[in-house]
Amino acid sequence: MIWRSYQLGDSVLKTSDSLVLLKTERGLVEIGKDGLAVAVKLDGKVRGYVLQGDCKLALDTIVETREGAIGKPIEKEVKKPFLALGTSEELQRSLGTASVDDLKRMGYENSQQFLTEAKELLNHFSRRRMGYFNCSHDSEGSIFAFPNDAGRVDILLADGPKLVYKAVGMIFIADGNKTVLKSPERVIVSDLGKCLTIRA
Amino acid sequence: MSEDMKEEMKKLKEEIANMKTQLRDIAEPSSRRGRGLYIDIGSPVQDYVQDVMQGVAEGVHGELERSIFIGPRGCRILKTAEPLREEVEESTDFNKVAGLMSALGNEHRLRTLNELMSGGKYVNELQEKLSEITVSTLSSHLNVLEETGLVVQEKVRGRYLITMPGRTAYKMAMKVTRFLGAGNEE
Repeated sequence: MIWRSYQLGDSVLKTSDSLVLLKTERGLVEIGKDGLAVAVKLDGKVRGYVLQGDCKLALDTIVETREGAIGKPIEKEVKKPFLALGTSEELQRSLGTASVDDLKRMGYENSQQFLTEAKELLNHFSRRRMGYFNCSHDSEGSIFAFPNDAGRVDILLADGPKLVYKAVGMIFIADGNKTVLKSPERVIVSDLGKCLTIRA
Repeated sequence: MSEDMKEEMKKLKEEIANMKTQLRDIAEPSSRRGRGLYIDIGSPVQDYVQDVMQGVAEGVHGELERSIFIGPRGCRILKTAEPLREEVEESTDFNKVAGLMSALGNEHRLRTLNELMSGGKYVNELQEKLSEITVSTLSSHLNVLEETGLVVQEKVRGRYLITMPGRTAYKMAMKVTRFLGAGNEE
């Protein structure tokens, strides 16, 4: 159970520049300047961060079929702390120490408040996802966990052309031209325009 | 057996015989006696059955009317014709329908949809095909098509894709145009 070993760092950091955390054919995650961060470690090595700031999430959760496109893209701003595992070294390089003003800008009185929120998110992720995920720097893949309004976390997994997004009421899986979209109404499986729809 | 008992038994037998006769009269009046069982269900029930039969007949007639299409080139049976329900008609948002028709009611928007029928395209690819209009005009047309749900734009790659309703609407517009053209020729 790898997740049991995930630990949070002690110090609160901040992003010194706007950064692209993920950019693939179908997914984009960006964080703005002066966002807060705390390291997530596994066996003493930094595997990712809990971040909070001006975060933009864009996903093309659209299935192309011969009968036309199905689904809508997702574009939203994430204001709450979110988990990013397997992120780039560029992020690690751009991080500096956060000041009290940086914390106050995000609505925290002190660093402990942010660390408590970050720990809660990490625990929530670990509790919900159990040992399914193991992300290391050896892999190109990334894992994101975004808190949603339902009190759960939306999960985004990305590795090159492969992408999985699980949110409330939907699951989207893509591998190049192969896509699967599951909504409460139907499941659509598509491969280069060929499409199979299963209605609920 | 005493005399009283015999008398009592005789009375009972007579009563049973009377009851049998009454029952037969109810189930089978003398005027209708013949083969089979006749049950008088009363006129209200007969009226109800008649109404039901009338309804069924009207339904069959209506279904035939909807299933047979009479056009300028003769008549044909519409195998997939779905019954038109009044409640659907009542709930139709005609403003929305008018908005959709308005979105289709422009030559450049129809040509844009035509280009997207072969697959998703970036704005510059569409601009090449519709070189007679400016990029801003094309963007404006794409916005109209997107607002009505006929096309969708990817947020990461930025391509425009025709949606399932967009494809259906475009095909419908083309079909109606061809149909009207054929009607005018005859």
